[in-house]
Amino acid sequence: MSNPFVMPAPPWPSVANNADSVYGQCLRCAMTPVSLVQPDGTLYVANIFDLIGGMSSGRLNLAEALSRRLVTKRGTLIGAPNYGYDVTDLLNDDLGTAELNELGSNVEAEMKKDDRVRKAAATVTVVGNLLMISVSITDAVGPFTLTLMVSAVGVSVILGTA
Amino acid sequence: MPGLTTDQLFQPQSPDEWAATLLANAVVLNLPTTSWRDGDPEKTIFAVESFAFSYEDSVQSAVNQGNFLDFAASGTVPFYNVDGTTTIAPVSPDPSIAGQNPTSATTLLDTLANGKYNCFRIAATFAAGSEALININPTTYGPYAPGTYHVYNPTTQASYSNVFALTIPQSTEGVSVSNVTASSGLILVTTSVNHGLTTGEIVALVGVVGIPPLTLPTAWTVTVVSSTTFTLQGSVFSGAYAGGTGVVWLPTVAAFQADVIGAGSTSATPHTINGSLTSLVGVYCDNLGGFFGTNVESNASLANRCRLKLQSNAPAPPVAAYISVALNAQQLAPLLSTPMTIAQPITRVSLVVDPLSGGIILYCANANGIPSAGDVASLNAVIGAYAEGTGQSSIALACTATNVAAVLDVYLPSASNTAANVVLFQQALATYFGVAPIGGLTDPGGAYTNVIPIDAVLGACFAAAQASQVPVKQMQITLNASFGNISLSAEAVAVLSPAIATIRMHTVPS
Repeated sequence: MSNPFVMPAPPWPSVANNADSVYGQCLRCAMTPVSLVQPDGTLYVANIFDLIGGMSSGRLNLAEALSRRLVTKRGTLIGAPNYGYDVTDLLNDDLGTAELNELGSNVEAEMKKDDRVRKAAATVTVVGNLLMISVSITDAVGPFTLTLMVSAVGVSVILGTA
Repeated sequence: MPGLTTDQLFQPQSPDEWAATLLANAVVLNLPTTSWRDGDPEKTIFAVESFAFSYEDSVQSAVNQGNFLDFAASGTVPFYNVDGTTTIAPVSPDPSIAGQNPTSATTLLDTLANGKYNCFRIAATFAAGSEALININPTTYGPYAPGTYHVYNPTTQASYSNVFALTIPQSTEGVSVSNVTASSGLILVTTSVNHGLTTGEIVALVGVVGIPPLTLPTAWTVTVVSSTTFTLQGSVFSGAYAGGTGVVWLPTVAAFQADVIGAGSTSATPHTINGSLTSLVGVYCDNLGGFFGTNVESNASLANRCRLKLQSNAPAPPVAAYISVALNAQQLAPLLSTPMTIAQPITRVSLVVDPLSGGIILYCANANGIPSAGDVASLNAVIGAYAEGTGQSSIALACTATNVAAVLDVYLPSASNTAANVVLFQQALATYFGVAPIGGLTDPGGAYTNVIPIDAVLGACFAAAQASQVPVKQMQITLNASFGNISLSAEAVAVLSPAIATIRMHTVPS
């Protein structure tokens, strides 16, 4: 299928601040699975997002987009078969140094799929039952850090400066 | 809203087209968003909606097509799946096509045919008939609940079971056979003493040696010639009787029907359902007549009857009205003021108009060939009541039969040289001859007139192989021991004889 989703040409509607030219705006949301009934009666389950009110803009918008990539199982997003790398899948795995390094590489690769990300370097550590992923990211404005703490109860995201 | 074309009514929008529409609307509405990347909520919401809207489009397309006869019968609709594939679904899944509509669920075509044309799809029937059970053991077996005593045709493997509760007492042993000879081609049995039979009674002959049709215990309806002789109806004499062999028994006769519905269980020839699946010591079985089952009517046939029905309702009914009424006769016969029945639906009709008198002659056939005299009588009553206009005269006649012996040679890899594939080709030939028109086919270009084209028969076999993915390397067929077409008279229908075609499978390297 061709991709009908192309970003409209600027000027974009309702540009709130200068940062929109870098990060854009989108709806604030939390992730939740939804299901579609297909013509053959089978269910197709995909991740979609509960809107939680307001708009997300600036670097926070980018951080949310990158976080979504890391909690979405690849192949479950409609129209984007290569989108996503679900780090929560790895929670109960026996992770050694080699596995953690591979995990870090996969996280970096997933981050770089976003065209706003120029560089990404990930460090992954295990602290007790917590998987801590720290990613140093450089975008058009400059460097910042994104830290995800993955546990059995959910994923916390901390957006920091470089 | 601008007017819609027929194409727009029938062609659903794809998810891509819907997504583009939604995106354009978002821009026009100045939605406060600038993000359309993978994973962005807006894009995902639009994508989900696009598939949902496209699905509704597809459903609506089917509904729209379902209002038009030809589209309802053979139209298709694309359904776009979220995995990027497209499923092409028929507007009306055809119950006559394997796998499309196995439960014969009501389709849009049925709704249209019933509601607008008052035509109803002809349902599949079980092959059914009378089975004689010969019990030479001094034991009573049963009772067997309906559907629990099974017999089968060893050639086709089709199985049948009792329609009603069945008890099989020991058959009454009659007189001994003293001679078996020919009488006008029939088998004439002479008994050692008075047989005490009356014409129409059913007997079984057990233990006769030297007469091939009587090698197995077989059941027959008799025509009494004298107190010590009778002929076997429908028999063909052959062989030489071995003196002193054979006894006449009086069997139990019970109604049996196929375990599987449809024409696939047809056993057209008597004395072919003679295998016992429910195996009892000393009990033999044999069918007295043909067991005929019919397949559910196809979409194309139902649509054709609807169209003819429309013509028959015209103020001055054209001759097509006769065809319509004939093809619907099975459903119309019970509605006559004196209700009648037609056992096997009339499925083939050929109409001739006498150019001098204007009288109409309607030659008719069913899926198995020549209709019974009773069915033709009922058809005449139906035509008189429903088709014949004032001042018109008509008569329905059974077609004549041209017997065709088909021998098919199939060359295929050993893995495909199976009994199931033998049955596949037998059924393909039975299906072809079951619908071949009265008078055969005539080439518009003049290449042939009133024939069964051998190439078409062979094509039907190839099509069956292709549909079942049987990797046939080569095929050849003879019809009546010839590689040529079979010529028919205008009122004749080609009938497979024997009813089960001969299939010779040859293994070749794959």
